[in-house]
Amino acid sequence: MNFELLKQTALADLEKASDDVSREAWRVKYLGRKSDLSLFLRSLAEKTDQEKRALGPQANALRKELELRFHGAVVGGRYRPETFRFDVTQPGVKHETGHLHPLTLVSRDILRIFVSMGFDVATGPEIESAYYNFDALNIPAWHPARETMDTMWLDLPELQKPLPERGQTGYQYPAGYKFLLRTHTSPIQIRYMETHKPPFRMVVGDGRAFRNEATDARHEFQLNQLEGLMIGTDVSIATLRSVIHDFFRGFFGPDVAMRMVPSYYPFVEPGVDITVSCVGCKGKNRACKICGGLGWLEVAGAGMVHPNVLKAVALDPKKWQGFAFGFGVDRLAMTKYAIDDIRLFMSGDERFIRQF
Amino acid sequence: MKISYSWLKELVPTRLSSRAMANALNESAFDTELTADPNVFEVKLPPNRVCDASGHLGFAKEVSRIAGKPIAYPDASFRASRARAQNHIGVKVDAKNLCRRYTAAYIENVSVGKSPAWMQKRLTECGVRPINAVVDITNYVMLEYGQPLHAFDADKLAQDKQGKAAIIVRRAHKGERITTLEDKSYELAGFELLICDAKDALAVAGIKGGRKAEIDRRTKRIIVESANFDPISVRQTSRALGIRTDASVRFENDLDPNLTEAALRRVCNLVESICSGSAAKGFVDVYPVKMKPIELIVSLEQASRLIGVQISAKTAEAAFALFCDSVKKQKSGTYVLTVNTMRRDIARAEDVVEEIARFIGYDAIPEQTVSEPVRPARIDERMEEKWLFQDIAVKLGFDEVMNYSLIEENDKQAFGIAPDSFVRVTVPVSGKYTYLRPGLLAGLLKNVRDNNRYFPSMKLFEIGRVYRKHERPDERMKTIVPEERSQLGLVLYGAKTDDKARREQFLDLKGYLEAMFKAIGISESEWRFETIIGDERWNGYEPSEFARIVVSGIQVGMIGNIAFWLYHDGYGVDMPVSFCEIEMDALYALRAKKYYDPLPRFPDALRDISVLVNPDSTASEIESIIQNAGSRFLYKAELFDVFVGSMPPSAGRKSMSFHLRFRSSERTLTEGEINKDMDLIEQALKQDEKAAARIR
Repeated sequence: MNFELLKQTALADLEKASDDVSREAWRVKYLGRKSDLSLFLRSLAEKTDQEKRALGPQANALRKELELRFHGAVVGGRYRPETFRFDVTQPGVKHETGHLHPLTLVSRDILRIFVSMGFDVATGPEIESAYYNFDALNIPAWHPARETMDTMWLDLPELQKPLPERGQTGYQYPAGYKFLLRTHTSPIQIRYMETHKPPFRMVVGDGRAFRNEATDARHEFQLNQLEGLMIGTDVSIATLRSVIHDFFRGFFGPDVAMRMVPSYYPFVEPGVDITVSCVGCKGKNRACKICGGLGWLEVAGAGMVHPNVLKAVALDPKKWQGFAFGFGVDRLAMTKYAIDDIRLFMSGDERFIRQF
Repeated sequence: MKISYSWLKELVPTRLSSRAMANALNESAFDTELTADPNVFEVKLPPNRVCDASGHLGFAKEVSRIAGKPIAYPDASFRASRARAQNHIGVKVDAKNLCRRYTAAYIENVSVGKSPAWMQKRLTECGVRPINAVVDITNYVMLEYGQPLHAFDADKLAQDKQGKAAIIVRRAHKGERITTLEDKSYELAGFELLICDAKDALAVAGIKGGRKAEIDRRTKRIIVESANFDPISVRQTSRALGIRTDASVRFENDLDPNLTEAALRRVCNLVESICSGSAAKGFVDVYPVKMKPIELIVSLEQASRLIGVQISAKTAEAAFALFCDSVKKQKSGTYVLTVNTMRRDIARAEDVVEEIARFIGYDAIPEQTVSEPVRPARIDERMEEKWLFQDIAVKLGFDEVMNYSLIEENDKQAFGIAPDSFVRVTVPVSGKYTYLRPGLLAGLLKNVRDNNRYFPSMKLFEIGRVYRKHERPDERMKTIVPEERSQLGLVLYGAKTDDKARREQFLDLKGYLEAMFKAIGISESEWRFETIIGDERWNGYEPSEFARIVVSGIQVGMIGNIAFWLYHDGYGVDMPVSFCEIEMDALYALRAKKYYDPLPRFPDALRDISVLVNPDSTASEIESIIQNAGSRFLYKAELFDVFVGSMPPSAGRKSMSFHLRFRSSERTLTEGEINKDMDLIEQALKQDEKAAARIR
C-alpha cells in the first residue's frame, strides 16, 4: 500500500469537500470501517512480526493524521452545523480545594504582620508548670488572679528533679510545681526570654489555652490567644501604641482607630485594654451586631512588662523595659468573618469549614 | 460592682451626664458600663483598686479628677456619751496574723426601726437589700467608705468576768458549727477565722454574721465591728464555705487597716441621727502593727522613659497630689512620694508611672517607634512544620478541623494505650471533659459522625497536640512526666462497607500520604508500610488492614481502616473510616532538601509482567524481588493490577501485574538490553517461593 499516495489523494479530496454531506462522505471513504486504510490495518494481524513492525506504525500514523485533518476541516470550517452547539451554561464539574480552618487563616494573617515587623514566632507546651503559668508572671500562690483564671489542674505529680529541655517532650519543667493546662500563652514569653538575649520582639504562634468555664455562644473552655512581647532599652507606652496600632491597621485596614484604657493584669504595670473602632459599622450603627452598637470593640490587653517578670528571667528592669500584649484569636476571627457563635470553631462542621 | 451615679454627683457636684461620666471613667480609670437603671453604673474594679475605690468616697476621687471639682465629704462627727466603750467591750485577738486590726464601737439606747427612704434607695441601687436601720447603716457606710462593718446585739453576747461583752477573734475548732443570718448551718474545718463571744461563734470573720448576736427590733445596745482581716484567709474560708458577700469580696482584695476608724465614726454619726443611739466615748482598738505609708522615689526621667513622652514637673506633681500624703522634691530632681495607705495598688515606681499615664490620658501619648536595629524574624520550627503540613493537606483536598484537647470517658476506647497513661483533669469542665487526648482519632470520628448527614464523603485533617503520661526510668525510682507531641491526623470517609471498597479507601489514603512524603522531599525508596500481624495491644483497626509507617527506618505513624465496632458501635458512623496518624516532629525531621533531577534525555522502555504468586505474598515482597534481580536498567516497577481468583480454575490463586520501566542516561536501550534484564527478573521470580510460579 502506498501510504504517501493515499495521503495526497485524501487531503486533496478533503480540500474539495465544502459541506457537511460531502465531508461525511469523505470520512466514510477514507476513515470508515470499510475504507482501504481500515481494511489494511485489520489485515496486519495475519502478517509476520517483521511486517507488522515495519508497516503497523506507518499505517497508524497515517490514520491519526487523516483523523486530525478531518477534525480540523470540520471544526475549523466556517460552516458550523447545529449539532455542534454546546451549552456553556451547564454546571461545571464540581471540584473543591481543601480548606484551612478560619482560626488558622486568622492566626496566619496576624503572624504575617508581626513577622513583617521583625517579631520572632515562638511556641511552647500546653501542659504547663504552675511556675511558668503563674509564679514567673508575678502571680504568686496567694494571688487572687490564680482563682479568676479557672485553672484546669492535672493529675501529674510534681517533679522531684527538674526535667531538662529536649527531654521526652522537648520542654523543660522545674521541680516542685504542679502541672496544669496553660490558662494563657504568657508562659511562652517567659520560656522565650529565658532562652534568648534581649532586645526581644516575639509573638506566640500557637495559642491554645484552657479555662474551666461553661461554654456558650461567646465563651469556650478552650480559647486561642495571640500574645507578644517587645523589650528593649527605649520600648515605651508610645511604642506599644505605635506597634499595636500598626498591627490593627494591617489586620482591619488603614482607617481603624485605636483607644487605650487603663486595666489590670498582674504581669504588666501599667496595664491597659485596647479597643478599636468597629470594623462593621464604624461606630455608625446603634444596632450593629459586631460591636453591640458601642462603636468600639475590645480586642486586646496589654501593658508594660512588670519588673518582677523581668527579674524572674534575670533581666535588669533598670536597663530593659518593654511591653506585652495579647489578643483573642477567636474574637478577631469572629469579627473578621462575622461569626456569631464561638462554638462553631470546635464543631468540626464541614458546612462551616468549607466556607473558608 | 454597682456604683450609684446620683451618689457620686452628691459627693462631687458636676454636670456630667451619666454617659459622659462613664466614658471618662472608662478612658482614665475603670471599666464602667451603664445599666438599665440610669442611676447605676456597673464597674469592674481591678483587684488592687478595691481598697480605695469600692466605696463611693474613694471612687469619687476619680470623678473629682475628671470633673476638676473637690469632694464634699459627709459629716462623720458624733456627740459621744459619758459611757466609755472599753468599759463595755473586751476584745481579744488570738489569731493575730489573721486579724490585723479590730476596732469596735459601743452604742446604747438604739431604737431599731426602718432606715430612711433615701438610704434604702441607695442600698437598693447598689444591690443591697434593706433590713433594718442598724444593719442598713453598716452596709451604707461600707458602700460609702469601702470598709465592711458588722453590728452585734451586745445583750446577746456572753459576758466576761468584768461584766464586759467579750469578743474573741480566733480560728474555729475542728467540727465547730455556726448558723448564719440566713439560718444556714456550717461545719467548720478549723482554719476559718471566727468572731466569738466566750461561748459561741458570732460571725465568720469578714464574711457573714451569725444568728446568735443578730440585731432585731428589741435590740438596745450594739457593738459595731470595723476590722481588718487577712485577705488570703478570708478568700480560703469564703471558697471553702461557698459564701461570697460584699464584705468578703472587699477583704479578699486587701483593705487598708487605717480605714476602720473613719468608717466607724461615720457609723456612730448615722446611728445617732437615725436610731437616736448614743455612742460611747472612744473605740476599742486592737491594732498591734500600724500600717505605715510607703515612700517611693520617682524621677521624671524614668516616667518619661516608660511612657515615651517627656513628662513635665507640673503634670507629674498634679498627678502625685491625687494619691500622695506628701510629695518632696529633692535637689537631684527626683521626688520622694509618701503614698496614701488606701492606694494598695501603688507599691513601686512603675505604679506611679501608671498614675501619670492615666492622668495625661493614654490616647494623648503619641505613637513612636524605637531606635533599635532591625533583624530578621526567627520562626520556631514547630510553626514552620505546622504550616507545611497544613498546606500540603489542603493541596491534597483535605479540610482542616480543630477538636478539643480534652476527651470524655467514652472516647478512651478510641486509643490503644494503658488506662493509667491518660492525663486527667482534676476538676473536669461540667464533669465531662476529663482526659487529655492521647491521639486525634476520637475527635475525627465525631467530626465524621456529625458531618455524615450532609456529606456522603469527606477528607478531614487535624493538626494538634496529643498528651500522655510517660514513665521515665530515672536512677532508682520511676518518674512520671508529661509527654506532649504534635500529631497530624487524616481521615477518609465515604467508601462502601464491602471489603473491596474499604480496602481501596485505605489505598487512597495511603496514596495521599505518599504524595505528602514526596512533597517534603522524601524519596520513594525511603518509606515503607509494614504489615502488623496481630496487634496485641489494640483491636481498633480492621484485622490486617493497618500498617506501621516507617520512613528512613523510623516509625512516623500508623495507617489503617478503623474497626467496625469502633466507628459504628462506638461513634455511630455508618461507613468505613480510613485513618492515619503521623508524628509530625519525627516526620518533619526527616524532610529533605530538594534538588533538580535532570530530565531523562532518552525515552523509557516499558514492559509489563504478570506473576502468579503465593497467596500470602505481598506487593512489596514481589516488587523487591524484581528490584533485586540484578537488572541493569530497571528504573521502576509499578504494580497496576492484583487478581485474586474466586472461581475455579483460578480459585485461591493470586496474580500481580507490574509495569516495568527501563531507562539509561546514555542511550536509547536496545531490544537486546531490555530482554536481558527481563530474563534476569523472570528468573529471580521463578526461583523465589513467594512468587513461585508462572510468569506471563
